[in-house]
Amino acid sequence: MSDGSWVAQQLVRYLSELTPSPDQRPTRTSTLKVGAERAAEALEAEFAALVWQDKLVVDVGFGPKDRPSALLAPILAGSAEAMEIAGLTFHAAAVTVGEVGRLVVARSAEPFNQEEMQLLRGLGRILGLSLRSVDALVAERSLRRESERRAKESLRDPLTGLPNRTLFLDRLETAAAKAQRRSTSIAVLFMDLDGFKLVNDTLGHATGDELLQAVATRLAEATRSGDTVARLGGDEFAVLVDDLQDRQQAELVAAHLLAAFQAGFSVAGRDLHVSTSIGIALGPSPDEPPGLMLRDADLAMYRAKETRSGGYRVFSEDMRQELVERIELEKDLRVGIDDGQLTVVYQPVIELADHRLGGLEALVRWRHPTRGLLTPAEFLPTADDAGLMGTIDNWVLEEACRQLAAWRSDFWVSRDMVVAVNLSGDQLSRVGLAHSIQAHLDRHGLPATALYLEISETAIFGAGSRADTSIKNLTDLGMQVALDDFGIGYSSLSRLRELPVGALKLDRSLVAGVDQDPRLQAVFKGIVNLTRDLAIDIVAEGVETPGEDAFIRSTGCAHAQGYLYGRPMPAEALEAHFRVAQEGRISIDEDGYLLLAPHDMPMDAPLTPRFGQRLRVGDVDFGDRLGEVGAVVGEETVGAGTHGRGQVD
Amino acid sequence: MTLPLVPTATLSPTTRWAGVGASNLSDSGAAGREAAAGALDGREAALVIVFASDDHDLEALVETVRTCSGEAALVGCTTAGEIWTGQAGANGTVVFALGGDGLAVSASVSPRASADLRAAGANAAAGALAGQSGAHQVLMLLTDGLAGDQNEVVRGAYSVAGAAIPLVGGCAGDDLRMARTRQIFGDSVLEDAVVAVSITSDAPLGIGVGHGWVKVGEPLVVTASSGTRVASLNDRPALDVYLEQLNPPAEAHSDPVAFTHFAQTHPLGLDRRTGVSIRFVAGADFNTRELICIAQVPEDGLAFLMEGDAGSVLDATDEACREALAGLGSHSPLALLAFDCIARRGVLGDDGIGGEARRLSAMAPGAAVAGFYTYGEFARTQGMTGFHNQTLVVLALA
Repeated sequence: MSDGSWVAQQLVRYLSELTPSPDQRPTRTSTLKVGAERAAEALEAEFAALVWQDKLVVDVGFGPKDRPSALLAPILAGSAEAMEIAGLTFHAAAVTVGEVGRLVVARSAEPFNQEEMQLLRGLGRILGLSLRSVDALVAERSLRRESERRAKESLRDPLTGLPNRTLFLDRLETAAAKAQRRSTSIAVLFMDLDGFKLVNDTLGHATGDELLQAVATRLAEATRSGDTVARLGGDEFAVLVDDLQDRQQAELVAAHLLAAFQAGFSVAGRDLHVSTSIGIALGPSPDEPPGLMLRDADLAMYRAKETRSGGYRVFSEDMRQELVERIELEKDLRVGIDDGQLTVVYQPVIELADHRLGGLEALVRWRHPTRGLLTPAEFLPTADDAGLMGTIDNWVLEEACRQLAAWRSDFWVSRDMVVAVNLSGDQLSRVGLAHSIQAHLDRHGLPATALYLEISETAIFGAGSRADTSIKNLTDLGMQVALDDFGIGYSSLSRLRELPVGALKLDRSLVAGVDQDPRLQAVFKGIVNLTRDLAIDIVAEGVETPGEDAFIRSTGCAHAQGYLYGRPMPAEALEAHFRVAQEGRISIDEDGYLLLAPHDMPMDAPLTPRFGQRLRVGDVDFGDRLGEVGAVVGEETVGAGTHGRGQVD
Repeated sequence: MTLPLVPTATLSPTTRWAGVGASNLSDSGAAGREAAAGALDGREAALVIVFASDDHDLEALVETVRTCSGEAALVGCTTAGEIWTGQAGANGTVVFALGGDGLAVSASVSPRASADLRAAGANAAAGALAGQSGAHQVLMLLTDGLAGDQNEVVRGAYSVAGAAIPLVGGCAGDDLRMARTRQIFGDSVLEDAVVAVSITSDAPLGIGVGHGWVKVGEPLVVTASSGTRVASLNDRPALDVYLEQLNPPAEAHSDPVAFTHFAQTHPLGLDRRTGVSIRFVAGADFNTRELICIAQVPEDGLAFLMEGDAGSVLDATDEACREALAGLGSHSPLALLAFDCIARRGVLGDDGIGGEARRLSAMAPGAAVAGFYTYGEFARTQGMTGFHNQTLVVLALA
């Protein structure tokens, strides 16, 4: 055929061959290859080549010994119209494809006539257009993939690949609807990892992430294929179990999951043992949206944690009531802080050698307008949940510093007497903590040595490396740090060596009945000996009996605290003590001399000339700071500086 | 996947030789033994080709051939009829053997070809051609024509062989059952495979192609097609147009067997620049009114309805032989390998195929002639395409 219809047919056919069917996914490479090959077929050529941006990207028909680039170069340059291969002549023709491509075909039969060149140009143009359409398709595919990936990611937790909260809630809705139709039950199991923050802070976030991935895998393995395991965020996971017949089945799943945690997790070359507590909510309820099951399970988990780490609890309505109460308490607490309902009580810390008052621990209380005086255990967990711990810590610090300064001013208290304030873990992680506390001291003219900061072991370990920095900053400024509640947490003696703590407060569990229990005595002595070597003071907490006092004193332990010496008491009650003691320590003897007790004299010792210092009243100018006299006299130096003149007899 | 190569067998007796043996025995082992003995006659061959009816227990047949063929590359396939020197028939066994000096043979196979026919063609060709080169070389393909569009096999093989190496061969048959075909490679009998054999010779090789069909009526536009199914011609259901223009016996309008029988002698011809490319119409879908062909029929192309008779088919045989022999130049033909479409057998009839075989032998007196009736033929000597339907392809060896 040579009436032009042949060209048209070939072009239509070529276009059809380059047009992908719906199930094909052409790429630029495959289109170039098919385009070159089909062009050669249309022209009954043996060779086809495509050069794209001066690079040979397709060559068809060349043998292993042929050098296509060299053979094609003169054709592309327009300096030759044929190739010589194996002694045979192949007539060649080249046309443009798109903006930067060249299509070359060559055949042995005969040179390309005008009609064939017309066809070849048309093929080149169609191929160029096809490439543009393929590029657009590829770009569209890429966009679609990206969009699908994003859509998938929006429903998946990127770290673990588990469904996220959105997908979990969606599946929960579906499962609830199905359960209602079939009259079966579903359960939501909510859990987080005990001590995950510690892993993150001490071993780094990369290890924390690896642990989360390992936990995700473990949970997926421990559940049925139809159950949904989701990561809700942070270290919170949830499992949706459907088609349940009774509550026991859900509890079995929880027990199974807890068992799966018993084997450690091999993460970053370490074996980590992580436990979890599980809250279970059963449903669906016809009266409530299924999403609320997640909240209920969360509540139940907190109850499980309170009861025992590594256990599970099933949600019940009373938990919800507690939640309501907790919310109300939080509201009241915010009001209470603003309205000055918080108060500080002080518990004496005595020096065991002579039972002299060595310091006072400031403890917060809340005078609730309707519920009366609340202890920290009754409202600090709520404060913690509400993020109010920092506010409360600051308030106690300020109040304790103000009070100590007032006592120093108004009473004859020893300059060695310190006030101890508890710091929460959140505070320990705060940047600028040391300077913030220094500001409290400065505001009341107190030296840094007047303040002891008590930090629980749990808080220190919870704050990770940040704790070391904070403690060092505090001690650098001269404040002292005591490790609180030692004995109920990690009790890491090796960690003690690394921390610049000045004192260790031994929990009552190591003190109660220590005089009766040889094993406890051995532990106690061991700790005392060790801390002595480290120059760390010991404060035994919760001393309640003379027997405990006697044993503790016998070990060389320096300080103690407990009901035996004094309960936590309001500042006014302490002041009464100070007043009595002070009156007992300043008297005028029969010769008219002022009789002063030295500052280290036991509070309860009778003040007599034998124990006291005699000053001639006329020689002493006490000014308005009578409290200073005790210290000055104790050093047997009177009359320096602002303390006026005096003479020791 | 390409199976390990059969070791190249380059032998050095004093002269090249070719032999053919045939057997009508129904016992497969005995048939293989008889045909192989006739072909080999105690000689050590470089290549042994088996063409056997699908009725045979092919494993048993191959086993006995293998006992005679020694280290020769052993390939073959099932057929829709066999051709051997001066004769042709059905349900038999033909063994062709080639040996002597100046000859190198290498074979390879790609199983599970239908998963990617192009890759199968490329892999089989690459395996067979690895390390093979010479002045006169041909790549023979034996494939499963029921596995899909064989143009893809050619494209794959050509992408490896290139323009310098011609392609010949045929698609295996199963006596028109159209159920399954099998290919032989070494000791293995496979389905859905592409077997490739490289033959390199010191002497020239010739390839001839002929079909003998004539156009019926005006050209038709393929207005809708997908792969091997033609949905419409001139915007009308393809089957309706086909039946109206060719006017077959009444039973072919509704009976699939009758239709296929009629269609054997009435293929489609696709209009090409240098002539007509034949497409065997294997059947029809009486519900969708589609024609079902063996090879792809591109949409928007021009097609003709074709018909043939014994005279034109036999004329085409002469034409193909002459073309093949011309390729040998002054060399005497040693053997002819014939890949003849089953449709041509349909035109010639059982009696006529003997005449065709005699014509082949008469064109090359003294040469060993072997071949089979195929479900599609390969012959690429020019251009890139090389899959044919209802055509005779002849390979002449000197």
